[in-house]
Amino acid sequence: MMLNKRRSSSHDELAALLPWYVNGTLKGEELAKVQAHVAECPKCRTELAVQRGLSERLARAPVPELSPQLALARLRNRMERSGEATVPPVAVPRKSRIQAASSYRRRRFDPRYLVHTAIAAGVLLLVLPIDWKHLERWAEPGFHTLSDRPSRGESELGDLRLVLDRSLDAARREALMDAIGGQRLESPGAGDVITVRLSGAGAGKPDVVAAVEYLRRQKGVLFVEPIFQPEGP
Amino acid sequence: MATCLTLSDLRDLNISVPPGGRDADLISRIRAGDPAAFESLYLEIHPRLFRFICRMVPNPDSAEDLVNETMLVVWENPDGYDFSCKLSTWIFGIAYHKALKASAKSGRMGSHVSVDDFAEVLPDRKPSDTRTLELDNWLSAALETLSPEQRAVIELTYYNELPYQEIALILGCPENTVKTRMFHARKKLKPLLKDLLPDMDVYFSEES
Repeated sequence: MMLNKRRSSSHDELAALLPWYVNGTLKGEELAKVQAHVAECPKCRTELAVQRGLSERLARAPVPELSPQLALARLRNRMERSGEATVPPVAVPRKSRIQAASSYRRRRFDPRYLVHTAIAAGVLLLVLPIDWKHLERWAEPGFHTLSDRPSRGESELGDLRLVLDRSLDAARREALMDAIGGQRLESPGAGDVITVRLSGAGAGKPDVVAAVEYLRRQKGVLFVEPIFQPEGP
Repeated sequence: MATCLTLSDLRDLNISVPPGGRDADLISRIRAGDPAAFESLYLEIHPRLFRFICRMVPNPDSAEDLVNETMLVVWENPDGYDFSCKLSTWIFGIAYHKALKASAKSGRMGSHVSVDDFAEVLPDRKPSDTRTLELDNWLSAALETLSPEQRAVIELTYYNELPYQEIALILGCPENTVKTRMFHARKKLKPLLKDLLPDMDVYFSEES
């Protein structure tokens, strides 16, 4: 009776290890014990066969596929928008960046901070009409401060990042390029990510917004975003 | 009784990071702010990480976001990695906890999600694969009956082929919990697997 109970507990413990016997990661004493047990236990041998079948099925089971290059391009865009991608930690140590972010978060919800923000906004509203002439300079074409990047859709170069479905044939790809007046730039090592430069209508500035909106409506266009940083030739 | 891994256990299992190894090299370059090292790690780990997260959250868009949120943690806080496990184990651990939170938020636990939800991003299939597709769909449905924690154990064991000790590190739980989750997952899957494993009729008629 006692012996049977001990056998059963040993059986349960070893049977619990079968999934890792199947995936080949058991080592040393555990591996030897399971091997010996499976050799004499018909129930565990059957269980082993079931688990091998399940393992093979799972390996073949469909899961969504996503190009890592495409996902990385999206992450890069997200980081560029938040100014993270090209900031080396030497210039702004990572820890201080994180600390600064968390202290900002704390301040955001501090009532005193909200009062100060409201006062500053009021003063700004009073000053704006007076200093309007000064502000008008900002509207002059070609006037940029060092920190103002072109906003979304106003990329000065008219470059886009584009990822097309691999099933699109050459003719369809060419038709898309023609439709937006774009030219593919060579980007070695970019994988599926294509850099496109828009030529613009006549001497005018290329309409990046229209091109992006058009492409987003087209079948087979997986990803399209304007580029804010100069890139390529 | 919870089993705690010591550093020497990890060394025996070849889980820890050898000094000067590839993981150590990558993380030290990322700590120095080298975007090329980050990209190399990203491209290498993405397929496995994306698949793992897809098993836990309802749609590929959320999965992609979670992969990127996980990798942002790696980029912004590489000091969080303490070399006590493989770099991929640390990253999978971050992803697991993010996916678990997302899954709880979306209330997916126990709800049915068909493979059709992934139709747009599933690999192309030939019509002759109809039977396989049906069985795969059935397997996906079977997996949906499990909790996200159980699905994680199944995926990390059978697909990623990880030892249970490493799975315990990823899930942040004792090793025995990993074994228990696997036991309950297998028990729950058993009646649903008859169609998937037709050669095993005797086995299924034994206990059910």
